[in-house]
Amino acid sequence: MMIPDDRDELHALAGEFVLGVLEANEASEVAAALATNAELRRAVAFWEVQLHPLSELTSPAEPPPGTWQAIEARITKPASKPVAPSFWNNLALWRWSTAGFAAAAGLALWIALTPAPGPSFVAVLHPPQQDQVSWVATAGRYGLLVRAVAGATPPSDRAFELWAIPPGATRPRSLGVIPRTASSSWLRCPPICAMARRSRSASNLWAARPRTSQPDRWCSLAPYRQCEADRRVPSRPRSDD
Amino acid sequence: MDSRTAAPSSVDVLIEAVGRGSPVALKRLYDVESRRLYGIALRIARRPEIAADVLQEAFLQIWQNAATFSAERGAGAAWLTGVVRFRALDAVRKVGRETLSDDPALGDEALEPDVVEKLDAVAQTAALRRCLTLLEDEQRRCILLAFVDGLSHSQIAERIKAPLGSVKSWIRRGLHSLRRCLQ
Repeated sequence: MMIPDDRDELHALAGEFVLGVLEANEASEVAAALATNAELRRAVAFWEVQLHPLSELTSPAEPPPGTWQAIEARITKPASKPVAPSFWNNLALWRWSTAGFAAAAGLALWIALTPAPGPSFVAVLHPPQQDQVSWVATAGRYGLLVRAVAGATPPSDRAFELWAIPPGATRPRSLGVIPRTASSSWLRCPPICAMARRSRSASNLWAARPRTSQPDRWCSLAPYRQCEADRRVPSRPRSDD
Repeated sequence: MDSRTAAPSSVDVLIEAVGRGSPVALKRLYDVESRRLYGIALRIARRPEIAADVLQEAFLQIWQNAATFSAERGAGAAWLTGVVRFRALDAVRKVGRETLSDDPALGDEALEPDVVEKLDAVAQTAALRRCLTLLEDEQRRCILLAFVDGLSHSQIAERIKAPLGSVKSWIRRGLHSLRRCLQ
């Protein structure tokens, strides 16, 4: 399946995505494309808002006792012991880069894994020898969210690009270019997942997420197994695409 | 008219406060929205323990992502619904729908022809209700089954005993018509 250029087709696909009729692998593709396709984002938002009244057809119900307490415990309790984040410790190189040109000169920044307050991984990025945080990267609904929180505007003809050095590798690999005009942007999961698949220690990091949490469908930092599953086993026969 | 529709902005305000990192706002949001959201999760997931897990994961996601819920989106309640629905659909796909639907009658009220009449007669719903009534019966039926019960193309085909290709086509044409009507 490709994300269509045609506006009508794009909106129909967004509608199917919001309805939830797409199979898991198709839905993942749409979710990943949301990072870079503003028209698709608008279309999805349109359907979420327009179809929302249909949720009135579902009767409210009382959640089981203890649900809030479980949520509260997970948002307030510091992670008992951050797992040795070999992958993220090696996610050590930011550099300036003309978008699309890997050979651009580098300005290294460093990235550290904070003790995560919850089950998600949060990376704080800032220039070397400086305390001011410039970016915060978190696992989010649609992938890796990178938010600029301080003056992180690149020169007019440049863009920021996030790089990682996979364990055992000698060369950094690009996780994606951050759009220069956006205060926040989503990076697609596939390169991250691909790296995880190539590295046992990276997959250990993935697997280290608390067992109580569901793997994330949307290819955030957690869903290594889900990405793998999507690639291999479509859950239902597909008659088109 | 319930409190949610009477004060539509309160959820947006709470989400904004959650985005600033306020646990108190998250608790308030839970108090206001958890029954509605749990009902949605339960309808799709069918099993209370799965629905409770969905709700828990959804609120964690809301906690983490509220800051990125941007002004361009606007409708907070719709965003919350989207988060819960996607979580619930995901859980169902993992567990396997077949193991969940031990009661075949559960959820079939969406098939009733007058179901659209159940929609609250508030302003923002009136347009959707009117546009849904303009759809062909099969189109409306499939779209409602998808949204309310969280069924995929193939699951709908199975449920209503129609060819998969027809179901896909009904939904797609229904969405085209809906969009034209809603705009």
